[in-house]
Amino acid sequence: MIQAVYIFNNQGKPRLIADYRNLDVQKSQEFLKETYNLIKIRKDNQCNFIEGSKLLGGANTKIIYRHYATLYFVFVVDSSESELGILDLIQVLVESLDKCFENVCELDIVFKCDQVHYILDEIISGGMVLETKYNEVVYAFNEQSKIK
Amino acid sequence: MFEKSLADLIRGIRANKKGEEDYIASCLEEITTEIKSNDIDIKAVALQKLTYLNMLGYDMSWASFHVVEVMSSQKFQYKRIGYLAAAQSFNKDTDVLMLCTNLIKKDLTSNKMYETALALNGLSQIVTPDLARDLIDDLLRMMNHSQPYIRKRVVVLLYKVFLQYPEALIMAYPKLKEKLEDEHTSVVIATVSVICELATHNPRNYLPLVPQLYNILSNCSNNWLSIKIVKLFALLAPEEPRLAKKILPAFGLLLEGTSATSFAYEILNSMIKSGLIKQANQALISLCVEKLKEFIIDRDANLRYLGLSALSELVVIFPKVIGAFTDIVLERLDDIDLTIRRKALDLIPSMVTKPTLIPIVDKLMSYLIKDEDEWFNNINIFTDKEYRSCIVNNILNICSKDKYANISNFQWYICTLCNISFVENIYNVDNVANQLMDVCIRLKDTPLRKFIMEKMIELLKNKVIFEKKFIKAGNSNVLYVASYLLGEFRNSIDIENVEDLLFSLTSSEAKELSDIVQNNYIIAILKIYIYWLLKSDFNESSIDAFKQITTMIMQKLQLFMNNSGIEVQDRANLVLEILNKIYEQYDPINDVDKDLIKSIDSLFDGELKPVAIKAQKMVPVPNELDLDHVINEEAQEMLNEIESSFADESRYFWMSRVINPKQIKEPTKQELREARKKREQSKKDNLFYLDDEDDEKPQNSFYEPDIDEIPIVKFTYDFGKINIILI
Repeated sequence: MIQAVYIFNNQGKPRLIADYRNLDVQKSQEFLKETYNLIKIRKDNQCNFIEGSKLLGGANTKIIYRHYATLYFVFVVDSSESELGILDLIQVLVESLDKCFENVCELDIVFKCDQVHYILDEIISGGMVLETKYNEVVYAFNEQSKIK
Repeated sequence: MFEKSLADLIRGIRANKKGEEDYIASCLEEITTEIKSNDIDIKAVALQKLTYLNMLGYDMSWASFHVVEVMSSQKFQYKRIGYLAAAQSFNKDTDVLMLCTNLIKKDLTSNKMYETALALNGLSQIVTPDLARDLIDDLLRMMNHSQPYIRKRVVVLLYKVFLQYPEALIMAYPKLKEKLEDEHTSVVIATVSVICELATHNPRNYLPLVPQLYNILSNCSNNWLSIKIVKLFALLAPEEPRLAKKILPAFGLLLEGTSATSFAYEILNSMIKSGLIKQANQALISLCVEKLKEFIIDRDANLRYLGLSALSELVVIFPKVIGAFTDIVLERLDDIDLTIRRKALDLIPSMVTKPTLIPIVDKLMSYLIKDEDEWFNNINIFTDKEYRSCIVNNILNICSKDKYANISNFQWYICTLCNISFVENIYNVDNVANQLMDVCIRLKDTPLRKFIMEKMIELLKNKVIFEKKFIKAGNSNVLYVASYLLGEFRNSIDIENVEDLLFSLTSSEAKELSDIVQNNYIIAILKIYIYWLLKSDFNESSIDAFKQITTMIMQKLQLFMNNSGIEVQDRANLVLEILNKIYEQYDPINDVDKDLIKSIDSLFDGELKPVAIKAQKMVPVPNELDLDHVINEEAQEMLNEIESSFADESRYFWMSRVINPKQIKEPTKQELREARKKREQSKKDNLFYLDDEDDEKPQNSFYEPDIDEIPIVKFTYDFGKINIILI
């Protein structure tokens, strides 16, 4: 299962927090910070997996992330998810954002934070993967935006 | 009054970077009023802003009632804001959840598909046992919804429902099974995902689904789905031994045929993790090994990392397989990615055998002796202290494994350990020194001991180790071992080298060393000096050499007496006194005097032996001793704790020489009287001895003082006037 999805920038400022574990606000911030601290020290030529953070859940929990320009897209998952599958899923999320916002940049994500949530909700529901095709995601998102 | 929109709020925060907290505080105040507004437009926007601030770490649990208000709005866009806020801020203790049942029920059964989806998605985050029980019938009905968009959402939501309300699983299972055949792939994906999660808890229950799953896998074109099914098989295979026979050939074909690396990796990984690979034939194992090799040398760091992870699990199943990977794993030790280097390093112990040990260690050493300004692959290994220390630990572990079973050439190993002593920027120099001590004491063979002594003398003479950086980093502590070994095994030192060695031990650099090393130096000086006296044949012409060396050492001992540590001073003083006595009283030409030297030498008698921590168990228990008899019931628990904490340790103790106490003759009364007389006489002659004749108090009065006679001084403190500085 997917435990959390974070988007934050190079300085660790949150742009999206979707936590599927019903954490309170403090814990959620704490976990975000831990994740950021683990990621920020890594170079772009390093692999995209981090294992074994005790705070986030120990050996069973993996952090899988991608770094695009100024933003990190981070998935925290348990062992029933495939590492490479999740990397592809991050790609699906980013492509969907790109299609929905037309050439997405950090500012889009800053100002349309709620919309980003709605797009993510087309891909993941309660930590379970719902859709892996970005065109389906984009279609459903656009349809809902039209509703008055 | 114009209310801020979400965009206004975000713009405001960005404009007020310096006073961000104050700005947000004022916004929160506005939100608190706006959210109570009767105007749903204002209320919804306020909630939207609050949800945003929640992401930045501001609490919104106080607004849960307003969240429900917005959720129940007629407008879809507001409803969305409400559900998002609920998903983000509700938890099982949120009391307004009880008010939601009817609202969610209404939305679920709405004739607008996206409203239904909204409720399903919201429910996946906020479902409680009560909500699950109240809504399960609706959900089961909706599994047959005309829209796949809704069906997939219902299916994934079901997993969250099962977690809250396990009885629902029995009700939903037949329908769930049906959904494996759904005409829409995304519904099948959702169903397989749910079964996969369920199987992690209780795999046996899902064995009947194998034929269906097998069919899906054979005809599947969706990568995500294929991966999930392979993962599911990995969970089911250990439960049903016959499954391997059917599934392994299929895995083999898929592995060979697929162009998707993520799928290929998952097949490999699942076969290894589930242990299925144990039942694979040779051809399939070879295929796996080939694929794994491809991963480990791939250009993509992710594949290299995953390849090494899978390999480390594979070697647990087939220890011999590592032989095929030795070269490519060694290459990964200078991978551009630090995480991968670590993974490769972790694999090293599994690939060491007697013939490969030396090349592997030499390779590891080559990383340690790189210079500060030597870079390769954009990485400077010199600065990575953590990694370097891991390499050192790795070398020590693989060499000492099974009591040095893999070492065929101990001269090489001792040279290696000496070389590591000069490695900069590591945490664990002490481990190196300990290992050197351990290995040298175990090696009793005469030519080897001679070799060790030569190496230790080399270490002692090497000026490099006295450089400030080495002293500061603790590398110089290896001289603790060197000086100790030289003293202890002095008989293996060539007598021609001894004078030179005494010079080295008393060189002025020694004062830079740490106290514990200096302590060993002083004792080594004494031991080696005595050895030199015993072994040298002095005659009239060489008697000067005796005097020269002795005075030289006596002078140089000053060096240690200037040390501020009392233990060093104390030892130096002791040795100085002994040398002084020898200088004054010993005539090296006169053989009779040799007894004096021999008696000093006998102080250092005894042989060191490594004793395993479990050696105590070998001691036979005396018949009359009942070890099972409980002597203190309360202590039993404590003992258990101690026992378990030491159970796995295997340390070594050095057995000091065994002292056989000579039978001491009981002195007669006459002898006792004479001895006492003699003692009293010497007391009188001694100027510094204070006579206690007049003192009538018994001697132990010092320990049991008369309480009333203790003077009491009254202290008064006035903290008001004194500045107390806390450091």
